[in-house]
Amino acid sequence: MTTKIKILLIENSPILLEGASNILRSLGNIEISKVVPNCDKALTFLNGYTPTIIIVDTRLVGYQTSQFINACKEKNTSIAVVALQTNFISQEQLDLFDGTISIEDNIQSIHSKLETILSSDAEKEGNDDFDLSLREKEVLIAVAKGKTNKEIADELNISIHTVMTHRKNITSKTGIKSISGLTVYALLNNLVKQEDVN
Amino acid sequence: MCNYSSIFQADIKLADMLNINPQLILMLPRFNIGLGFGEKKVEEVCQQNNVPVNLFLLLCNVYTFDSYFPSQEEINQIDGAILVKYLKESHTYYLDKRLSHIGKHIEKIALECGNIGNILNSFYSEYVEEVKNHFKFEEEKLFPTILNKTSSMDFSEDFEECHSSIEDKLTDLTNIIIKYLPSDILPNERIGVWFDISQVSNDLKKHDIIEEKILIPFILQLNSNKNDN
Repeated sequence: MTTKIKILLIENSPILLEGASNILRSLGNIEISKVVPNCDKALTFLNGYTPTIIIVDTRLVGYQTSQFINACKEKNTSIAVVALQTNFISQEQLDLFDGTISIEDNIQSIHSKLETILSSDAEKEGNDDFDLSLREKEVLIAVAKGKTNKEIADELNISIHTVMTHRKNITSKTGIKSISGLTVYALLNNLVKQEDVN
Repeated sequence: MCNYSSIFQADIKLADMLNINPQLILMLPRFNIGLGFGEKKVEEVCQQNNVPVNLFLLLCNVYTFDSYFPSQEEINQIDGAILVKYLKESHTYYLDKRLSHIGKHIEKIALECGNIGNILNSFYSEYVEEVKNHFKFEEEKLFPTILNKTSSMDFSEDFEECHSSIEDKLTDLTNIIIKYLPSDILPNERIGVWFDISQVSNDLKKHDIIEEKILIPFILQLNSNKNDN
């Protein structure tokens, strides 16, 4: 089963909303699970719901950037908060985000930016899974379930080359190389259930 | 203790050689050489035990010095049947002594691991099975070509791949035992088994090197002699 990346989009402009939604959906494996018009609404939603990424229009954060990001991370540290840059905002403010997408970016660069955010940024200090990123965990789960690199690439909508890079990183982070060893690791860390593994 | 900058020669005392590389003690039972050799030199001990000194030294040198590659001439001079006997003795030692010993410890640890225990046991049995299959391949396909001096198929590439896969699994096992099992599960048992695995892992690595530096060139030479005739 494909695990979709859940996105909470904070946008109040119908033009930008339509454009951003279309582009994000075209990347595949992405689900825009909530759209809200402002940050306060977003924070109330976070009480019962954890997206993978929050994409927020910088016009709607104003000078409250750090407060907003902190509030999101307080709900769940693994959420990545990404800026959709639509207005002028200082570099210092931009640096507070886990990533930035500009309205001038083309589809390919949006894709690769999200890819980087997912593979490097999702897991920070305080996690107990030995620093595997969200994407690496997805790859590890698929490996443990016995999927081939090609199947994993199709499922996650990434290239086989990227799958192999993730696998190399998983091995260098865990010290485990063989598929059966990785399966034991995934089970020990509750990433898969015993019945999912043959 | 003497400081040997070059490889071991026939006139070194066996005891001195073992002081330099204690791991070489494992060579003795594989050649049926008993302890109690006193101050005897390697050539004397070999002679008394009917072991060809050139092969014994070749193995000890490859085992000890990673940068040492024997010349084809040295390899051509060895007695293939005795090389095969040594390798088979090593296989028996790994399977019957070391791996079964480690297996008992793993079972004990697995008993304390709940659901994960089964997975740990099956990971280990899978590993042992892989080692057995590899040894079986060598004993059934490669060794007879030496003993009967028949030519064999092309194998060297698969062979090295198989060695590294066996080695990877053992490294994975040590990582799982030390880094990833919950800390409260039999820590002393795990430290003990970790030492056992490290020891056998080092010995297996040397065994692989011996096969890659001596066995394979020996077979390739046999093959080319066969083709020349």
